[in-house]
Formats: sequence, C-alpha cells, structure tokens
Amino acid sequence: MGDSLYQGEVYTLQFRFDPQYPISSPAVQFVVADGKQAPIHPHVYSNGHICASILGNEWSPVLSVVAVCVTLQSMLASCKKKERPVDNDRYVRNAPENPKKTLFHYDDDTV
Amino acid sequence: MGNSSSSGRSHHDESVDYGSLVPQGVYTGPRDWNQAIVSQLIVARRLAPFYRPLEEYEDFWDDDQILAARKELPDPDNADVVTRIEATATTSNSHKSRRPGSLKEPAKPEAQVYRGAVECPICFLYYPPNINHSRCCDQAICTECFVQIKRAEPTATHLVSEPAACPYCVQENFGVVYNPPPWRAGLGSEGYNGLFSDSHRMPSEPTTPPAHKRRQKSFGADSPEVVTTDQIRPDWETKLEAVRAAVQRRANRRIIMRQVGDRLIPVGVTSGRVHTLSPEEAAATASVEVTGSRRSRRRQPQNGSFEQFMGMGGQDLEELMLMEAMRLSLLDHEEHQRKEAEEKKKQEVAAASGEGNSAAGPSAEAEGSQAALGLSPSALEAQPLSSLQASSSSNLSLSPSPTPNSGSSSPRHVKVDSQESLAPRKSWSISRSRTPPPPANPIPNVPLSEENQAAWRNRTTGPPAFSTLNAALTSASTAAALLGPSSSSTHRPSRCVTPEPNPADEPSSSSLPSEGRISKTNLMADTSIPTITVQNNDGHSGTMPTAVAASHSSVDDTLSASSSAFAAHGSHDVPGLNDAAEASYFGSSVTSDSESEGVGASSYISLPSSPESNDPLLCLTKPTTKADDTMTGRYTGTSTEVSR
Repeated sequence: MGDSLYQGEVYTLQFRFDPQYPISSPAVQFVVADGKQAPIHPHVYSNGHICASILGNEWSPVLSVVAVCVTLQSMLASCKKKERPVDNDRYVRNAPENPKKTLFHYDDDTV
Repeated sequence: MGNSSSSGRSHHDESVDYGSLVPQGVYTGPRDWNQAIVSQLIVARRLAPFYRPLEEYEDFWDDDQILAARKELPDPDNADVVTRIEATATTSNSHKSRRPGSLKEPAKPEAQVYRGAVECPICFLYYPPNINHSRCCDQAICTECFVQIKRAEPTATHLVSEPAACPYCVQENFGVVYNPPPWRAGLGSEGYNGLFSDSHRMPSEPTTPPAHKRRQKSFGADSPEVVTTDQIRPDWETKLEAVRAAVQRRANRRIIMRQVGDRLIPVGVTSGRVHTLSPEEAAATASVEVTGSRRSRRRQPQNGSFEQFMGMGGQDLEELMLMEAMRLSLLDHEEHQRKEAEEKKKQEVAAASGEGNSAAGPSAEAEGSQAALGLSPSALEAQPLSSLQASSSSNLSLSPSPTPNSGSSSPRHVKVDSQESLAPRKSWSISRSRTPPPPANPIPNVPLSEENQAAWRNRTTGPPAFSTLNAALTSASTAAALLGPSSSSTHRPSRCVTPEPNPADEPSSSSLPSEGRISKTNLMADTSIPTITVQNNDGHSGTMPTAVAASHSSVDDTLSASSSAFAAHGSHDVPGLNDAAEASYFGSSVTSDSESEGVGASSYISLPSSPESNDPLLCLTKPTTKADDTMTGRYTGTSTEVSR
C-alpha cells in the first residue's frame, strides 16, 4: 500500500450481499479468523467491523465491490496513526454479528 | 389498448412499447411501491416500461441473439405474463399487418427495441435505449432499479425520513425523466397511429438508435416531467406517522406510582395512546418543560382513603400485562402492609384496589385504555358531579400552582395544573368571557414562541382565583391566538376530575379558552372540595391543549391521565415530575411523589401522560362519549402541525 502505515500488510475483506443488493449495501468487514486480523485503524474494530459511511447511510446502489475496496484502501492509506476506535472494547463486546445492524455515527471524515 | 388491427401492433394489452407494466424479476424483494401509479406512469410514457433486460449486449447481434439474451424471469407470475404477451404477438393479426411494412426486416420489433441497448449502472443489465435518466445528473437508470429506490424506512430510533437521494450524485429528492421513443406500441398508442402512421413500424426499421442526448440542465424535483420516488410511494408519510405514533405511544406510557410511606408502589400504567408528535415538537416540549414545569404544590391532607381504578379497555396486550404485574405488585404490597397492622386506611386502600379492577369498564372508552388511578372516595363521589361541572363550566385559572387557595384551608379545592411544555396548542373552548376570542391563528404551528412561553409563565405565576382567571384569560388569549381556536372541543360532556361540583364555577368561565396550563382553581376554593393539585407536565406531548380540571371533556382528555390522576389522588405535589417526564420520554419511568402528605397519604404519581391519551387516568369522571371527538379534534390539530 505504498507509503501508508500498512505497507506490506495484507487483509481480507468479507462481502455479504443480501437479496436487496445493490439497493441495499453489502455487509463488509475484515476477516478476523484463521490468523487474519483486522487492520488497526480508528475506524476498524478488532472484530473486523468497519465504520464507513458508504457502507451505511451513504451507500449508493451505484457503488460496486471495486468501489468499496478502493474506498477502504483509501481509508487505510490516509491513516496517520494506528489505533483502535476509542470505544472498541465496548463495541466489540456487544456488537451484532452483522455490521449492518450497527448504527454507526459517521463523525470523522478525515480518515 | 386500442387494438386497431390496422395499427399492426403486436403486443398484448399489458405492454407498452414492447415492454411490460410489471417488473421482470430483476429484484425479488417486496414490491412496496404503488404498482397502479407505476403502471399509469408507464402508459403515460413518463416512466420507461419494464423491459426484460439483456444479460449482455453487442451491437452486432441479430434479433434472435438479442431475444436469446433476455434474462430469464425467475418469477413464474411474470413469466406467464410475458409468455402471454409473446404468444399474442405471434398470433395476432397485427403480425400479418406488420410484416408488409417491414418486409426486409426480421420484423421482430421486440428485439429491435434493444438496438443500442444501454446498461443500467445499478443492475448492470442492458435495456432498450429509451431508459429513464436521473433528473439531477442525467444518469441512466432502469425502471426496475428506480422503483427499488425509496426513503429509508423510519425506525423507532430514526424517526425521520429523508427523501431518497440520487444514487449517482446523492442529490436529494431523487427523480427520473423519461424520453419516450418517437413511436408507440401497445397501451396508449392509439392516438399516435394517425400522427405517426409509420411510427409503429419504427422499431423494425434500422433507424439510428435513439442516442440519448446529454441534456444540459437538470430538472427540479417538482417539475412535471419528473417522476420521483415519493410519487410511486405516496404512502411514505403514512408509514412514517405510524412509526412515530407507535414510538410515541410507547414513550408516553407512564407507570403510575403510589407512595406509601417511603415506598413507591406501581399502581397502573397509562395507555400512552397519544397522537404523534414530531421530534421537534417533542424536543421543544421537553425543553419547555424543564424550564417551566417544576413547581411545587401544596397539598391538602386528604381523608385517607384512596381508591384505585385501573381502567383497562383496549390496551395493548403489553399494557395489560404491565398493568397486571402492577396490580399484583400492589396487592402484594398491601398485603404486606396489612400484616404490619396498619390502620384502617390501609385497608381502605386495599379495598380501593379491588374496586379499581372493576372500574376498568367505564374507562374503556373509545380509545379505551387508561390506567385509572384510584382515588379517594371523595373522588368517586365526584363522578356524578362531573356532569354538573360540565354544565357549569370549567373553572380555569391559568395560574397553576401559585393559586392562593391551593394551600388554603379549604380542604376541598381542586387545582389542576397542567403544565404542558408546549404552549397551548389549541384553545379548547372558545372563550366567551372576557377573553377576546382567539384570533384565527395564521400559524397554527407556532410551537414555542417566546410569546407562548411568556404567556405561559404569566399564567403560572398569575394571581389567585378570579383575578387569576382574568389574567389567565388575558394571557391565554395570546396563546389562544397562537394556537388558533379549537371550537370543536368546547362543550363536551365532561368527565371531570373534580370531585365535587363547584358552586363557585361561574358560567362565564365555562368556555374559557383553556390553555395548556390551566388550573382548575380557586374558584372551587370556596367549596368544600378537596384540593387537588395536578401537575401535568406533559412536555413531550407538547400538544396538550389544556389541562382543565373541570368539566370540559376536552379538558379532561387533555388533562391527560396524569393530571387527572393527580387530581384524583388529591393533594400531592409532583415534584420530580419533570425529571420523570423526561425520563419517561424514552420509556416509562417511575416518578415518586416526594411531597405526599395527608393521611391517606399515598401519593400517586403518574408521569405526565400525553395529552393524547384520551384515557383519563382517573376514572374519576365518567367517560364522556365525546371523548372521541375531542381526540379527533386534537389529533387533527396536531397532525396539522406535524405535517408542517
């Protein structure tokens, strides 16, 4: 990933599409299993859930898997400091299995 | 379809320009749009018909290849339709008549329409070039995808519904514009036969594909060419209201507590049946409530017996269960107390609880549900009187708490103070007293204007008794003006909270505009009516028009369960109501009545019930038949506001 903090690191994304796709967004998260980890990022919870507006209320049916990947790549690339979200522990404890069931607040568009 | 044989149209009635009126199965979800409207729009050529999409498309394909590339329909119903259409196409006389005109062509217009097919960027399927384009950014979108786009469904946690945004440019109020082909076929084509005599054969001509010309301007959401997502789902507002109502109802449910000694016993739950409030209103109400409603009231010691009524009529199962749980809790508690050998008054309470159950019947009104609070026997007695008061009119003193008499020695004084956060939305009664008739309200909605608040304050701090009344009226008029007259509610049979008829009531006062906080006041002071102070903080329901303790049915309704409950129980302050009210907004909360006094001293605290709860918490008064009307009136008013 170029000069990003995550250079050389490899992550796996999981896409789940429900019958309403593409009208509704796919459930996208980092795979956390089999030795795979979610990147350490202020918008990525340790359970792999991603807080990204395009996966929630800013989803558009025009967006494709490629677009999502590019967006997430960009999200990682623009990260300045590797850290978990502040509420990571609390969220992970109660997080639903499907990140789409989480109502995220998208308050930071800088990263 | 004007199936004139000469037209040579080959399609079944349900086709438009070789497309269909119904979806072709690209999406399998529920078809929650208004299909009738969509069909109409398609026939009117304002929306592209549902074409069977092509999985792939190449310009060099011949007709057969095109037809072969059409997506199979997963839905048997749709398949039937299409099959029928195709069968018609091949067997109809139009088949013959069309041939002559297009002999050199394969004569498969249903294939020709796909020439120059366009890929829908959303479903990635190919459609005839006459496809919809977004009004804002001129991007193609097939009808199949368009009908899927809608407002986000409101949820209990998201009580607003933003218009659907354009999937391409995210502009609000997504809408599409459709440029129909120059020819017509199928439904709605008859008028075109004369004008374009050859047009029906056009699809079979090797005409240049109607390339979409990029348009320079975008259409406004309200321009006549545009079809918006809301247009095909006209019920979105209804749905939103329904969700809001459900949430509101839940939020308005209050648990009514009775304080015995230092313990709180749940004695009932209000129905919470209220009309919906917009979040803004609710917020406004809440804020007002915080500032204004906190006020301590003095209560008179009451004769120690309280009766409890638990009205149950038509509640939700949930409510019933909750009430039952409370009832059991209460019984348990009473049992406990009895064991402690409390005095007779305790026993009376127990008895009261028993009655409360039976009392449910009357409370079942149109709206049916209320938790009626048990009241002192005096309250019971009052019921018959309610009618009297109704006739006499309600005494409304605007100044809720500070009424001089409230604390006065006259034990029987009923003061109902409903402090609704919202300024009086409606004047329930038309004042024919000194109050200037409320001017028609130009702006019904004015929720919490400064004026309202000011007026409100004036009222609360107003002078006692009659003078208070006057002042109140004056201020009320202001509020009333804001609210606009609600004439309908004026004379309702009252089921009043007031225990006894109030001789003091003046006829003149009867139809006072009741504002949100009207306390039934001192007028009654003279009478030997037990003083009841009711604080109705109905902040959330901001719509509460009035709290008139007395006779107006509207008043009663408005008083809402909570206020009435208080009244019934007689003298208690309800400090903490505010807090409770707020808490309750999010759920039912329990409030304690800190200042309960009096011998029988059980204080019932009900959280402010919303005005809408028609259900009188207290069954003190007899249910009026008019309750519905009142409700309706109120509801209307409210809804208007909301809709704004």
